[in-house]
Amino acid sequence: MTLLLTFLTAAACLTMAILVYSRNPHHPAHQSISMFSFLLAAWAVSNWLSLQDFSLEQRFFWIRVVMMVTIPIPWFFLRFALHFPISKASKLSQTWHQKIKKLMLVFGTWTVLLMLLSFTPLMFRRYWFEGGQPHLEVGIAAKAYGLTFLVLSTLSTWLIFRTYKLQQGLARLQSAYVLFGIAVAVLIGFSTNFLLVTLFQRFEFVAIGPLSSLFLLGCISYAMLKHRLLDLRLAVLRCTAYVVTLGVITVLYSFALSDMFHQLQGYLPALSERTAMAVGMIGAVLSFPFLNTFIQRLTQRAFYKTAFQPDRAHQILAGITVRGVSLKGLLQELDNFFCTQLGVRWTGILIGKDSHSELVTTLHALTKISFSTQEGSSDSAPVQLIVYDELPEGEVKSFLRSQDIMVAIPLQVHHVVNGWICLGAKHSGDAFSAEELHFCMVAAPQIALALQHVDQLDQMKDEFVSIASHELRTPMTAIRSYLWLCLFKPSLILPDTVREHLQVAYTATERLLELVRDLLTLSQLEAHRLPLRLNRLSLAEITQRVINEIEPLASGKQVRLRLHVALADTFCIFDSNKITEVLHNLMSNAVKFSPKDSTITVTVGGNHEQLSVAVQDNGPGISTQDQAQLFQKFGVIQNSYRRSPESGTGLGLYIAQQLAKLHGGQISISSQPGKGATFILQLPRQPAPQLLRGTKALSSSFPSTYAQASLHSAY
Amino acid sequence: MHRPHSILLIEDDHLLGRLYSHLLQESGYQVRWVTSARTALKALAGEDTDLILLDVMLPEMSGVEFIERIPGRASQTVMLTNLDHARLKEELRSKGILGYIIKSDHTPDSFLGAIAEMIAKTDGQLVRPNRQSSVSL
Repeated sequence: MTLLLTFLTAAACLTMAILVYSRNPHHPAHQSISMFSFLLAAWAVSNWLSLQDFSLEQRFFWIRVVMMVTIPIPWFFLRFALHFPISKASKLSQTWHQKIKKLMLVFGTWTVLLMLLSFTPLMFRRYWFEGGQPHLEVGIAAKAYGLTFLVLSTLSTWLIFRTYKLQQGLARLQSAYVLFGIAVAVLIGFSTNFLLVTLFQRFEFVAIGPLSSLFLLGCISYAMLKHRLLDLRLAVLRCTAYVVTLGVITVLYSFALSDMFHQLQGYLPALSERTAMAVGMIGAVLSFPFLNTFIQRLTQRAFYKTAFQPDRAHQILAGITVRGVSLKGLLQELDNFFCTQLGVRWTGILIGKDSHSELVTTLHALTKISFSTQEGSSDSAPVQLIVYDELPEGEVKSFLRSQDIMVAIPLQVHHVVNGWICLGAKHSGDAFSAEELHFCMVAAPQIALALQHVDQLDQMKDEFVSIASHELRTPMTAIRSYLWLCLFKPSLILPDTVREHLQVAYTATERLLELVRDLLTLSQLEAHRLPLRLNRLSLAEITQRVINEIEPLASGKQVRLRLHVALADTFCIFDSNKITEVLHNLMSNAVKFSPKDSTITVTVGGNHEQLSVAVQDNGPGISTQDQAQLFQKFGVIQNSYRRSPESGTGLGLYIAQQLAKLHGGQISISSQPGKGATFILQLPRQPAPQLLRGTKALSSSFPSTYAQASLHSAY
Repeated sequence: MHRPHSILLIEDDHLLGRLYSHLLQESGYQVRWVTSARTALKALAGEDTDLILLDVMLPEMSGVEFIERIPGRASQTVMLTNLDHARLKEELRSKGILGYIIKSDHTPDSFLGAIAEMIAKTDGQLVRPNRQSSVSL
């Protein structure tokens, strides 16, 4: 009976020790309770050994061992009491804690001394049997220990009692259970195993001692399970479930196996029992791992915790970052991602200098990252993750505690920390595994880059709209102001200037309409809804027509337009309206930028596969920097906010390029500042087959009045 | 009688430039209107100026580049533009400009009110614009 109890006690204490330690090896409370449990297990075992029917010397030895093992117990318990996990918002005064912490070293040394003394006569002088009953004569050291035990236990109890009084909610409950456990255990354990033995020489109740510790452990366990003391609940539950399931299945399994072998022996009487056993054991050992993984997976699923799979997580994250088009959307997806993959309670993503700047500033300051430098910290090593559990007590840790942050991941792009991802505690209460932290480290740069891009994209959209509306607003301002004056300040205006004002407003509306038309074309192009009406026409003819249209504009500046046609046959399949628009744009630009009294040369050339129209002017030319932006929407404007003397809508070249591309062609430019510019439109004679998808067949001599193929752009 | 406030208007659009300079003159300010940033630099060197109204989109040197040339006078400068996006505003704010007016948001009346506010910020007193004369525009 006592064997069973001892075994149970030792097993329970050992399990507790391992569980608590593995949950959080760095936390002093965990370490202390783990050691405490381990020592209790050792106490139970050695206590039992001391009661066995050994020789006198042996029994005496075991009694000394019992003493040695029990001496450090109060010290560890005091340590646990000092580091009792209190809630983050506590204002528990630390002065007593500090004082006692300083004394811990003294107590520790004293404890070690006593431990060493337990093998000397100072502890126990004599041990003998009298009338079948054991007697023990104790020395000074034993009495000293008694005193030490009382002092340390009182201190521990008092500390936990303070927590009980000053804390609210969870910590209060936890401390209540621990106090209760202590009270009972101390009362029983100390009395039966120390007082009765040393003062009254009664050994009958010695076996009960370790059992009382079981009671204490039970209370602490209850506090853990029910009230999340040391956050062990899930680990304990899972472990218990696993062990129980494992035990049951092992038993069933071994019964089944042995049954099977009995059957086998029936068929093969030649088989010796030994062989049968061996086979049985081998079979069991081989098949066990599969059973093991199966049970593990079952229990994991039973507690709603799927194991973290980094490969799958990387895949999902890659999908998210690629799809990110808006900042808000991306942030939401990332939030979801972390909450589901890692099972955290909350995710906070802080980016940029201004959002939650206080939080970011503090994090930066604490991790000594410079905000404004382009190079970040002077050493090029990447900034590390900050993990709450792994930090020593200090400024950073208490800051994280106050914000309920368990992990802070820096978002770093090219040595500049743009922001942080903060993760709260997990729902399951587990700590973050090494695998998960490694994943966060690896994924952080990817996320940082995605966020930066999306931010830039948002900014670009913002700027495009701003510039487009600027172009709309400028003529609007003139219209509005002059009309307002006409309507509301007639007294300030003499009658014959009214017409002048209205003329001004009218001219401005024309400019507005031009822009609106361009924006409409633009939106059609973007939505791929621009129909092309293809015909086989002479490019040279169309070019001549455009030159005739531009004539009046050019002659106003005394600019001459010259046309050279280098080929006889310039027939090509294209949409005449669109290409007219393109050529009109190129030529009117050339006129705008040509100085007075110069010549613009237009050359139509090419080969049997493609045609080109080159428009060359003698204007100021275009710098390489501007050339790069030329074909983008408002490209040159966005580059430097400079206004060219006669600007169009800012969208002309972009639209022209898109129209050329629709035909399978393109517009290129060759220019040097001071040496004029040549814009070249290239068109294939036959549009590529995919452009003709879904169209009616065109015959080579289709007159323009007949039905035409209307097609939608191929991309 | 204190001297009227002197405003330097830098605006390349002729319609608007004419409109604003007339409105401001009619309100009793002393207005100089230039159409490029380079001319403005010369004008600043020449005479005293209480307030600078600066357009962003200008030929050859943009409003942003102009501000960079006269950092000391940024606190007297009000941006007068139709551009309205975050990056530009932040850039200008960080240079310490006095204000940012979006042209198309205002009727002539509200425009004058905004200018009066800006002037008040520069010298801390409420200025009453002089509106007695009727000026032909």
